[in-house]
Amino acid sequence: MKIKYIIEIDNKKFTVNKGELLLFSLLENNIFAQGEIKSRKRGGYCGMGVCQECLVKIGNSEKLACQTIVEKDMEVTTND
Amino acid sequence: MSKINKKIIIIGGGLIGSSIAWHLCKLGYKPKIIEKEYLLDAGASGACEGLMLLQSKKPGLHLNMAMKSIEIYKEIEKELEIDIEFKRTGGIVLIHSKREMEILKDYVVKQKKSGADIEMLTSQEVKSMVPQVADDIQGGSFSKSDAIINPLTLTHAWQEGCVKNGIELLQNTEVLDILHENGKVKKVITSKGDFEADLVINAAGPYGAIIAKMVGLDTPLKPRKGEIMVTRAKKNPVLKYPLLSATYIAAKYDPEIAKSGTGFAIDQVHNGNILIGSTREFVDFNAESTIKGMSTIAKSINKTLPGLGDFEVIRSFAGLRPYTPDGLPFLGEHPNVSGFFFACGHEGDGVTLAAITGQMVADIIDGKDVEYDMKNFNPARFDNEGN
Repeated sequence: MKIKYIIEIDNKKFTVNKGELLLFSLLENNIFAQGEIKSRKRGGYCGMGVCQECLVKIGNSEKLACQTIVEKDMEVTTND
Repeated sequence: MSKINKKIIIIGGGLIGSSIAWHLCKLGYKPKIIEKEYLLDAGASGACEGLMLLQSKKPGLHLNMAMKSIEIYKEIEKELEIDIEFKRTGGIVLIHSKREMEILKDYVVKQKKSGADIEMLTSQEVKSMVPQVADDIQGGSFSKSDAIINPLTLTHAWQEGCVKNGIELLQNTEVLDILHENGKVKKVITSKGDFEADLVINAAGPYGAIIAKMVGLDTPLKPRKGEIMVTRAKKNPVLKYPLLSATYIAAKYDPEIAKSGTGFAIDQVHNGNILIGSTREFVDFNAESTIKGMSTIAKSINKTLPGLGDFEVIRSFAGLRPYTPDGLPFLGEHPNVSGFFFACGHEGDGVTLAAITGQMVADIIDGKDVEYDMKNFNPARFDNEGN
């Protein structure tokens, strides 16, 4: 059986698959925008660590969602 | 011949080609646009910062066209269905040395005579408007008409307007040859078939000379590379105004200044990223980003804007701009080849001048009077200089 994790995204709980990239967890849960600059939503674009558009906060540190594997009880903030 | 049946082929789907197509479309023509790449902004249109600075334009005709162009953007912004992120931010030219100050003072007097609203700033005024600037800044100049725009969405907005009105856009299509008989264009041969033509418009930017060669014309138009760095997007406004180093302007007047570098331009775009450019280099058609180019830009920025602090550069890009020997574009029909129009050679002024260029070329084709003296842009103006 596939192992699932519960992670927290913007203070809401989501079930995600162990081993997947955080960007996929976000997309699977219809969270497309990771940031909002001057009222225009921005989100993951290149998926390979170049464009910097999927930047999120995990705890207190900034990470690229497309370069991060989900972990148990991760706390993610998308729009900071 | 009715307008709709006039076979007009525009070579180049960048800003200039798109603007011409859009303006022709408004007059009832149905040109065909041929773009070599898939992306419409693959060339110079996508290799710039989107700055529209009146202050960098030569007093006289060049400046007047830029002023008119910015007015057109203000009007068409409402007509276009895609946000072109046009914003009249005002802009500042930063003056670093006494010599630059002398040149700029004289320059601004001439620009004011041409009707531009440009004012000199004391070093104190510059410091209060741009807190990040170095202590030894000599002063600056300011124009509230300077603006920024997104050249990528602008190209797409024009193209969408065209395609919606039945204009054919052929991407990934390379022009291989242009057939001409008795000094008149006949047919454009492309990688996707041959097209008969009454008029051919050369809007190929840095590739303009290659296209002109197909009808037997030698044009002193060369690609000049510019490299630009992009920082991570900043939510908060870091720079209120786009900034241009006076070195960029002064270098055109004093070769000694040109030796010290080409200066820089910096602005924070709509999305929050800061764009820092640009180098100016003749390296044929090589449009690679280089470490050397980036470090040149970074050094020049650090010296003038030490207060900017640390920024993460997330990418860099480079592109070719179409250089001409006198800094003016080639516009209009070539006297020796009937039906062959030039609309290229804007170098770093293409974004600012795209709107007016489109309107002018469309008006000329439509037989309307154009308010500018076209001999300044005559594509044959260098023909007897052994080029």
